[in-house]
Amino acid sequence: MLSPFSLACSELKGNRKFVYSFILNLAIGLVGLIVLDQYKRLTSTEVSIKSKELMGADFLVVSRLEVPKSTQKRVENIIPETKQKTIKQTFFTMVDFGEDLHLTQISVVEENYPLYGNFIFENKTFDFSRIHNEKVVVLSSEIREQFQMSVGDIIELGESEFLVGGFIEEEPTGGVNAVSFAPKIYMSKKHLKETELVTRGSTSRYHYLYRCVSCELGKSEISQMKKVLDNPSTKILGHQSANEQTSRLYKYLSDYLSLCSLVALILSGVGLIYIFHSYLLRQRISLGVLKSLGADYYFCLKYLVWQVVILGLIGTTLSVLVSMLCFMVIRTIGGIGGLVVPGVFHLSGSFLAILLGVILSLAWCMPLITSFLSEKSSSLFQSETLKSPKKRISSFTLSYIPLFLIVTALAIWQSNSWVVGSVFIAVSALLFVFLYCCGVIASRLIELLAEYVNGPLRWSLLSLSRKRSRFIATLISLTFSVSFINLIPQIRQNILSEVKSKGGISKDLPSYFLFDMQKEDYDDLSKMANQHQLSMGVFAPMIQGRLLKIRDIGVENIENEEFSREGQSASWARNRTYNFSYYSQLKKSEKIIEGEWFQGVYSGSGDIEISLERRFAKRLGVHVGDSLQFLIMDKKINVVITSIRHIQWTSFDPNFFVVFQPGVLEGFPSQYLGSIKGTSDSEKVFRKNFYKRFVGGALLDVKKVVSRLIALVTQLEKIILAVGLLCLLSGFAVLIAIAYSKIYGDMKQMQLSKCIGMSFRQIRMQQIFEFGITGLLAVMVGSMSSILISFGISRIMIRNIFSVELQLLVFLSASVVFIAIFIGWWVSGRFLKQSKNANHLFD
Amino acid sequence: MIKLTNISKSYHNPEKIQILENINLEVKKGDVCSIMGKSGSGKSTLLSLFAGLDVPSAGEITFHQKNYRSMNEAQMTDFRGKHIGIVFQSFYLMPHLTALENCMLPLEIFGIDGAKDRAFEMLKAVELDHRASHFPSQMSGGEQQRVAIARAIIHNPKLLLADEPSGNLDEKTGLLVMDLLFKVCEQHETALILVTHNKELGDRCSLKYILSDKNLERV
Repeated sequence: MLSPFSLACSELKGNRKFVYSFILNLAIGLVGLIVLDQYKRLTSTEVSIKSKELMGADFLVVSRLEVPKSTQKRVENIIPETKQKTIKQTFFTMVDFGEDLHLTQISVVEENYPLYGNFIFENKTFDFSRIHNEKVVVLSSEIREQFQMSVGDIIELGESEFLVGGFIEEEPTGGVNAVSFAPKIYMSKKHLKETELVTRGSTSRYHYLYRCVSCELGKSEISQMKKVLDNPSTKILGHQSANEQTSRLYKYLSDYLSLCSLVALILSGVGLIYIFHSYLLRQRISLGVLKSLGADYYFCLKYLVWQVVILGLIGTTLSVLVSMLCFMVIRTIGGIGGLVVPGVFHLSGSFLAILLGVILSLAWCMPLITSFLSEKSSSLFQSETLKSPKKRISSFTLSYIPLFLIVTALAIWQSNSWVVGSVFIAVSALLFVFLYCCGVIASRLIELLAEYVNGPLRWSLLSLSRKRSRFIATLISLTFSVSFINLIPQIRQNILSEVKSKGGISKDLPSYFLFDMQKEDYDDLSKMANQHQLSMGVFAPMIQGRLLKIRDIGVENIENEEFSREGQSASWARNRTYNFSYYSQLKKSEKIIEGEWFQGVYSGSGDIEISLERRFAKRLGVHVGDSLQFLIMDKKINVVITSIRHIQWTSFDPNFFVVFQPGVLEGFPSQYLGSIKGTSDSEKVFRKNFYKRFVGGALLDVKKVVSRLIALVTQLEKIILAVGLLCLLSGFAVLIAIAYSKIYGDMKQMQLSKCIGMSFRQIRMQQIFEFGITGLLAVMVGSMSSILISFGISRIMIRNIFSVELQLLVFLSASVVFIAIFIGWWVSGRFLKQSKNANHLFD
Repeated sequence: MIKLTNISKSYHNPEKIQILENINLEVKKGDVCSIMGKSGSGKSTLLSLFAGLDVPSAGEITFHQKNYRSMNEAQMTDFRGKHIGIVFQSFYLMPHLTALENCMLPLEIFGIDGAKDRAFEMLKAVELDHRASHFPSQMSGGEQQRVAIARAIIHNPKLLLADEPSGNLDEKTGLLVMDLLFKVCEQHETALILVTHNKELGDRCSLKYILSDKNLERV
């Protein structure tokens, strides 16, 4: 007995062009998603395996103050398997490298450091223990590159001199330090005192690293440890935290890139719907014959479903193989823009991808299948269905709801964020509707324009406008990809324009960022700045504390999900150490968006007012009028939120999430942060003088930091652009699929045109015009859409100034039009070269 | 006017299949010629040769002293557009063009002025001027075929090839269409070569041929 499966296989064997089109479209759409999913899995796996080495411990205690020995004992008692302990102290200071002064991170370690992992030095034979036995230090390799230092040079650290013993190639992290802009120096604890680097008021971090036989720190152990801590600013971290810290940047990046690759997937879906629809039209007679021979609805359903499943399996398998190839290439070239591929390709993720590919293929094609099968058998022998157009469109649209839900779930899962995923889908859906409306309007205008032209141009305009659904489908798929490929550089441009002016870095940015300063330093600092044609910017106090209660509920009693980024952010916001400040006037980079600024200095009675940063308040889930309780230096302080501020973070001024009303925190010990603006002819001299006068303070060159940030963004942008190009590739794959379908569908018309005297050149010109006009419309609408969307993102979400990257926009637009014309020319040429084709009209 | 001399046609698929052998035929201006034969006898192949859409394996085709072999594909297309009209069994109107636009297409191809007015006149002649703005999907089979006839004759071709023009129509409509076809050919003094299965239609033609065993025999 003939089974639907065997019939499906034989049908596919006889329709190879359709099979190749379907598989290729699906494969291109899935490749981006699979590659990024693999990368995320491998990074996560790799970091999990190496987390102890990354952290340098099984768990660690981090504090800005030295943890008393009694507290250390209480913590250690909770994990009795603790075998080894080492203490690392880190702080920032200015170091004179001969050529220039530079802010540097000093790591002071004990003899048994590191507990896990090893240093790898450029000079492989260097023995790290020399830093304890001799007055030797080791430096990060960027110091050698930037300041031309060498092994054997002498370096001054505070009041003492040290020999440069070696340069670090790789180091165990030994603590919490995700991204640092300062180069590092490692020295022994034995020599710290004589340097006199650690003075009153300077800020250090103390890392207490523990190694044990087999200790697993779960939530309950961490919770027990937190209870025995005296200081709210002290943190306990298990080695699993290294995963989050070190991979956070790439995690966010890959989440957003996954969304971009989802666009490629959606586009391939559009192409698949079109290809499958054309295929089903050609299958009408076969289906009618099957039914007339006694095949029931379910037989026909299985027959078509099997075809989709087989194609989905083959297409996804192909995409997995291509992804493996991409992986190999990226590994061979050593990664792209810092995105190094760890490990080997994991097949476990591939099975999920294959399942997803099959499910998505079915989701895209099932509405078409059910629509065709629901037609009366007799209508299958006619060229049009008997259903009224209205009923068909509405029921057809409804049948795509499952696909919409699947893609929405995919977007949320890939972005790890309810908000980002939902906004992405909403924007995509709106874009589809917008493009559909543009397509309808364009087809009407084109039809009107046809009256005023002649020859191939007129015929192409009539063909485009009268075959509306095909025109709109082509336009949507191409415009969608053009929109996204243009959107990505626009967003980058808007972010970078905040910090970059035409001549270089923005002149509004401060030149230096100061920290570890004291209140009494202000006057001398001001005079020194003026002497070097610089001026003081912000100079604000900073006090640390922790959040205890939100609206009278203790933060430890507030639970939320930690799957989504929103949940993770909320949890982080509640449990972190806070930096408070107080001042009476709003800074230039701030703007009140809700409530009112402080009503003068606190009088000693009534509510204490605070102002919160906008996004921070959202993470905490608080509003104007809500109460909070903070712990600052053993003192509990109750406050009321009286305003919410928007901060322009890219001003690089010292900004604070939480600002107190003046008159509350003045009695607490604080350090001061500040900024210096302007440019000087004698900046090196200024830095040297600063270092000599303010030994405990630190200067961060903002221009250098921003340059490095721009370089980092530019590097990452290459990856973002690569994924954007994948979207465009998907769009073009759809265009080629539609082109072949179109040409195939137009075959008889082209043969007829030949019969009635249309020349080869005229027929080809008509096709070129059709593709060229569609391409031109796509870039016009796509560019407009991308500018509108990036405007919305800039003004509403990021709240930046808006600007357009015109050069890239023009280049991409011209490329799209050119490629569309080329596709029309190439595909039509292939079909027209055979003059025998016209004979078939007589069959 | 058009003369076939010792025409043979064979295909290789992969063995050699002889379709036509030593066909000789001459059709003069105003002649109405029918070609009948069983399915697979080579009628469509013969029509393709007349139209210059295929090349004979042997023999010569001349049309007004112009040998088909002397023309390349572009020249043949141009020649066909100016001197030959074709009516198909399945009508083959451009589905996205109205009746008027379909009809004026042959004139538009050669950039002839007044194509729209001339097309409207032709539609009037086939009694379809009131359907000028309708698409093929909005017309019956008979109406579509009448538009096809109007399109085939609009440029005053010297030769009209009709491949079973009433084959997809009911008897009554088919007769109406055929009457129209004969009428317009007579009015424009266009030679007509009609391929048909219908003996009655064949009998209406002044020249009758039967294609059988790869040969053409006059009846």
